[in-house]
Amino acid sequence: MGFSTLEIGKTSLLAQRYGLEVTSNNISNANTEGYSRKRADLSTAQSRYSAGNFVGTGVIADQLKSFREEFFDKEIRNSITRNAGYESDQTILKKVEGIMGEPSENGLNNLISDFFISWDQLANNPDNTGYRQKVISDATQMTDKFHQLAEGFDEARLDVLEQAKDGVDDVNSIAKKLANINSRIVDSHSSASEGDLNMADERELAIEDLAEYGKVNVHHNDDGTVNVHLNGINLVTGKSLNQIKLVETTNSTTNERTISLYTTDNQGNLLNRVNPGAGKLENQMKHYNETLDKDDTSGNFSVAKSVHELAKEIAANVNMAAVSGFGLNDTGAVPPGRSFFVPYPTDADASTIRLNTLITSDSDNIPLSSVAGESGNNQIALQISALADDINFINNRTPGEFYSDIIAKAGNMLNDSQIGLKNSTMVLDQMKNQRDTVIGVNLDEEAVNLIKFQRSFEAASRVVNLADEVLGTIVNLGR
Amino acid sequence: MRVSTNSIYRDYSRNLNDSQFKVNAENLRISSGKKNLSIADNTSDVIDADKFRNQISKNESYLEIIKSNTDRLQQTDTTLQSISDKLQEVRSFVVDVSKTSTGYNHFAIAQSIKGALEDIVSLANSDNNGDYLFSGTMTSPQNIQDANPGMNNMPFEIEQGPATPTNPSGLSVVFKGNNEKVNVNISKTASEEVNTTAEELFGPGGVEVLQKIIDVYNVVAYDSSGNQRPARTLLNAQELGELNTLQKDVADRYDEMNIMASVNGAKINRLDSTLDFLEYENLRLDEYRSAKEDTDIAEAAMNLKREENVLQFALQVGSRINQLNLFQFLS
Repeated sequence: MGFSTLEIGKTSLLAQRYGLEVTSNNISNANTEGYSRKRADLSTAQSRYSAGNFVGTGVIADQLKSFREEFFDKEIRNSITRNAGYESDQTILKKVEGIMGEPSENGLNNLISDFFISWDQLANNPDNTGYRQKVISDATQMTDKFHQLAEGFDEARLDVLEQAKDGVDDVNSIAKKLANINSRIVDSHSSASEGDLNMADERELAIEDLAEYGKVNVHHNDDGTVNVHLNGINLVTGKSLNQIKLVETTNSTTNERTISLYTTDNQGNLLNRVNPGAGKLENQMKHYNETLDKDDTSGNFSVAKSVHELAKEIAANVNMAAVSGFGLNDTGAVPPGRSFFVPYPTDADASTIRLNTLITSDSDNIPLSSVAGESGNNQIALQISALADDINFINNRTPGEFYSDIIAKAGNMLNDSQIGLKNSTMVLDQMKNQRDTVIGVNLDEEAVNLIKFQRSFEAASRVVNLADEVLGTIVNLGR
Repeated sequence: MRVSTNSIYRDYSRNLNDSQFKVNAENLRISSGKKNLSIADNTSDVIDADKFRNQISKNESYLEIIKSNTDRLQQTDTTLQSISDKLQEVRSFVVDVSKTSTGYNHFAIAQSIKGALEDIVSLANSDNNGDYLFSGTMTSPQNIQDANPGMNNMPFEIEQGPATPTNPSGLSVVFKGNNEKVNVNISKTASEEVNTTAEELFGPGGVEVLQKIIDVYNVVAYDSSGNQRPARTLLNAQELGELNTLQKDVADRYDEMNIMASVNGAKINRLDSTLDFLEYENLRLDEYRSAKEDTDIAEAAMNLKREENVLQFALQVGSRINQLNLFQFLS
């Protein structure tokens, strides 16, 4: 006893203080996203042979243990990708639903129906100014709704483009961060799993952030760094990285504008095309290139294209009948060729469809008679009203059925995204909970550890005091 | 198994959010009266409700069309009846002329025949809500005027022309409309002809029977040399023969007109039955629509209560989570 006791007390004090520090750090990071609890692993110091016996020399706090497990991290990344994809889907499709104003009693379907009904009513009262005005009024409401939809879809598409651009900026920023962490790990000559464990936490958090944008694959290198791939395309390799760029191209034949992702070199030259595979960017690109693209040629469902097609067919079919008709004051044997909608004969679409000003300025000009000078002749009006029930109007459907199809497809897409999001959120939460059973901080457990290390620290202090007293006694011997 | 503090709060937060979302959804269902708040809630119901609503609107439009055309057909019926009565009157005059032994009142009868003709022409010019009943698709005064400048703007007009050996009075009736049919839709799958044309009414050219009446007038009012028949002059055998033939022609048209009145009546009946059917169908469709989109208030209120209870318990659980930790015991 003597100096060795003092030494043992010292190692114990240091070890318990270390334990207190680690515990305190766990407590302080209990709510930190991505933090994995740490544990101070204490071990017995090497024994000393003395007087025929091995005598202990105290305690060593030689290892800081982290509980991170790659299996959970990988599964959570996949869940995050799926979840972010569904979330992005839902956000965009909710906007589409809002633009369409459905379900409602004043949706486009009702306005189209009212428009054709007004022709039926006019056919019953061909020379009645009131019913002529009603046709104009109902047609205006319908075209206004088409304009509103077209404008809404265009704005939503631009919004998606901005979100995708922000997403690409985020991906580049995260890739830079990951390369930077890799660099710090290599420069400090320590592996993240053995050295600064917090760097591993920070890196995993960044990878999880990245996983929101696409499928992420991670490969751990021997030097502690990681290579990160975005659905198979190299994004981060050790300290180096490739940036990605969103490229918008216009098809010279169809005028269709689409976006795609490419990796770039340091000079900004395009390298490889990136298909994120899933996640936010994948879905944003899908909605920009298909769902909200009025010029879409993919063959998949496009709500914008469908609405434009519907407007185009309504204009074309109504005009086809109208140009062969006569207004109330027209004379002669040859019809004046007055279209009901413009532009004519150019195709109209949801954004351009308008009523012919010749008709809005004078309702007598509505061409609804097949012969001039017969105000009771309602042949053209009957032809137009019959369009509402024409099963070959568009895609072997009536206008109402075609619009119902649009609603059904958009509704089912939204429903799929909602169910998908609900399920993926549940899976993600479960995975996070499972991971937290291993790496998460439990405050009660930490409180116990705190007491444990505190008490041990107090006891070690007593050992030092005792050693001090013993030494004092020895030093004062003989005085 | 370890439970981390984070996962406790994560689960709590998710449950709380879910519960609040459900309470809010039930609240919206009750306040809006609509079962489906989004097209994603029940897409097929949303579409069906839309379809039913549109069909109801269409049927309401057909009902309006039927009501206005029933009115038109009823007016046509009344007018046909009046014209028919006038034709019968003309026939009676012919019989009177044939039976008289003195010829004393031939001139007065001739004037009555002419008056009946004018009445028939006036009836044939009847309109419904501004649209002529028997002028085909040329239903407006403007149409008639434009096609026949210099004449009046009615579809039938008695014209005074020069006297001829065959038409000593010089009278003729001009029809200025056309004989086109007017069709209107009375349901999604049915349409109805709602006009009677001049040819159906008065025979070929739309004036044949009217011309026959003028012929009757000529025979009664004028003698064979084309002079006004002197008073107390009896008709000779040839004139009586002519009169008999003309009377028969008028009688034939009278019969035709009665048939037409029956056809017209049948159309009114058809419109009535279609109206009944559409009104019933609308009731049925409205029930379907309601089932597809309206909130079942009792069910929604129960759901709301249930979700409120869940939320309340979730909040209580939350407050307990906050209390139960070792630090609280230690402090």
